[in-house]
Amino acid sequence: MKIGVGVVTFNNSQEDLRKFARAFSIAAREVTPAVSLFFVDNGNPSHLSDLFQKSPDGNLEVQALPSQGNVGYTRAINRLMKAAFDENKLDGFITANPDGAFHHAAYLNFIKRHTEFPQAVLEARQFPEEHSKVYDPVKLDTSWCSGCCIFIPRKIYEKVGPFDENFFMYMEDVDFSWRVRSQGFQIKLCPDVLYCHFVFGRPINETAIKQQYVSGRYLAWKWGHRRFFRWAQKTLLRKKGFTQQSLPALTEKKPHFSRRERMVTYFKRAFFFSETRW
Amino acid sequence: MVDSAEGDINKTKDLISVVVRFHDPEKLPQLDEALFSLSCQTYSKIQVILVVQRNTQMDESFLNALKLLIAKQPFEDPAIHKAAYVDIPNGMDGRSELLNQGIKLADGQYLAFLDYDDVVYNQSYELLIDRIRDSKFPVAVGGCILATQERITDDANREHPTNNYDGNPGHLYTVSKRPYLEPGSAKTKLDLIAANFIPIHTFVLDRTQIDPTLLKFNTSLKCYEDYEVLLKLASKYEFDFKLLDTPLVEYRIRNDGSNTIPTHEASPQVRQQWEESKRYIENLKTNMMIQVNAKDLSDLVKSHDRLAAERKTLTFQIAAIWYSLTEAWTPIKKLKRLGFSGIAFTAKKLRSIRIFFFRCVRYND
Repeated sequence: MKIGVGVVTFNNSQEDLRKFARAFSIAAREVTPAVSLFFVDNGNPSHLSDLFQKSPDGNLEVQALPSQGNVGYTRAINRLMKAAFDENKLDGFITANPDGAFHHAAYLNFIKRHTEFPQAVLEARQFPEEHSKVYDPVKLDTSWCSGCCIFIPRKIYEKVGPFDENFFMYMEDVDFSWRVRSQGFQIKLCPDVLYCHFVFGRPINETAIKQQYVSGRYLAWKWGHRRFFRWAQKTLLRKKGFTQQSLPALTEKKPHFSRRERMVTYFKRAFFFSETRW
Repeated sequence: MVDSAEGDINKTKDLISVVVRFHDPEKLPQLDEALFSLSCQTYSKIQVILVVQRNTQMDESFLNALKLLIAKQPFEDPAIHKAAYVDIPNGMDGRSELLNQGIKLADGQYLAFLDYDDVVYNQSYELLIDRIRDSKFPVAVGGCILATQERITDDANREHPTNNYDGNPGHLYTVSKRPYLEPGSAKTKLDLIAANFIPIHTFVLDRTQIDPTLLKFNTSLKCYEDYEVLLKLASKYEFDFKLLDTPLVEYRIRNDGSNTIPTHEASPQVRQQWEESKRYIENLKTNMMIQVNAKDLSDLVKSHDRLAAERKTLTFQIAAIWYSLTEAWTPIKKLKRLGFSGIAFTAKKLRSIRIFFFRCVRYND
């Protein structure tokens, strides 16, 4: 099984990228054939390829796509996914945030779990601070998967399509998960696939918070949840400096989801989109 | 302050050595997580000292497998780490001896401890070492998250999808998390004398400021071995508690009985050993001297109402406290009103007095 990893960088520290590259190389040694890395810089040049060239390990291929500037995470990751599936004919694609590190058995266990659950998008367990959303501890089903590190099989990509590029960043993973589930596939959280995500102590970024509300508003509009839409829009207008004119336009043709399809959504706990364990 | 000349200065500057103790080959996945969390630290000058309690199942190939496990973690310097077997004589508890041997192997200026079944968050050592540098104290303590885990098996007759990668059925499912201490519960060294609230993986020590003879864990203790060392350190040095409300580590409690903590289910023999360890600690507290800040003692007096409300008996076995005269007077009067007896003081200098608690003092609500 040939898999690829997609990384979108945005002004990440060289220290983070070096750690990512080291962990990537170690995990790649555990599987054959080679794991391909596809990356694109949305910010300043990351020189990620150079970090891998210094690695003595040969079991990986690195492909850099030319930067198009800060076009948003979703467009960038879709370009990488297209390169992996359409141009390189890979069997599976892993999204990975560059401020993180793969556990050495991550690829190996992703492949094992895919063999076990071929009809599922697989989510890594974030480490050491695990996401608090609930999952079935026996069947491993969960309501949505965080794009921080997920495995998408070719079959599901071909059926469901890429991420919705109307999301600049944030919540494109929630929307993707719901589309996956509404088409009869599953989302599984893999407790034995660890992805270390360096989120602790990250300063509160007001721009990022604003973007969360923008994405949340669009998500609610798309899936027809009026209350959540009103809440997100009201917050943007009252607390985040938006006016009616400056709110992002919702001009795209609204997709139609049947009542059965919309049953996969969950809008009750703000941006958690799930019951939580703590 | 401390005479830095007494510390162990022949150590690699800025390096932190983390002593990880391990004893059960079946718990490799948990050790793997502990090591992975160390390798993901933002503080990169880090050395793992893996000390393994040897048993009959373990040979050189197992030790090599452990070294390989360390090599599989994305550490910046993979050559710096050490792994070694420790033979524990019959009748001796291995927990303290493992720590002592680990300390001997450690090369770093800074020292920390981590049990194989716990994890540290990414910025732990960076923040704690920053506190040591800022405060000039040799000990910095951080906050802790208590995670409750259940091993998920197919006991409920539900279809079990898979084994975990360790080959054991099921996996450890985190049911809940909460702060180990109530947020905002300011703690001082005096609280440490009342009871241990510092798990072993929540602090970092600067060995260049610490008398190396104090860093020796008592091998006769079946538990509280870390508490004893903390008390000895507290008697001589200042602790920095600024990060107590910042979660830096995770303390994992499992429902399969594999934690080494006193429980009611333990056998009578084990419970007796724990009682003996407890008595030893109480005796140590009775005879120790401790240096505390005036404010800490004042805060302790203020907390009396809270303690009384919890209907707990607090036993103080502080033999002597150095104290500032100007700030001490009011708390001393309050202490007397609260029922402390046997207080006497002797002026050593104009602005300092020594308070003696001649005997154990008990007070109830």
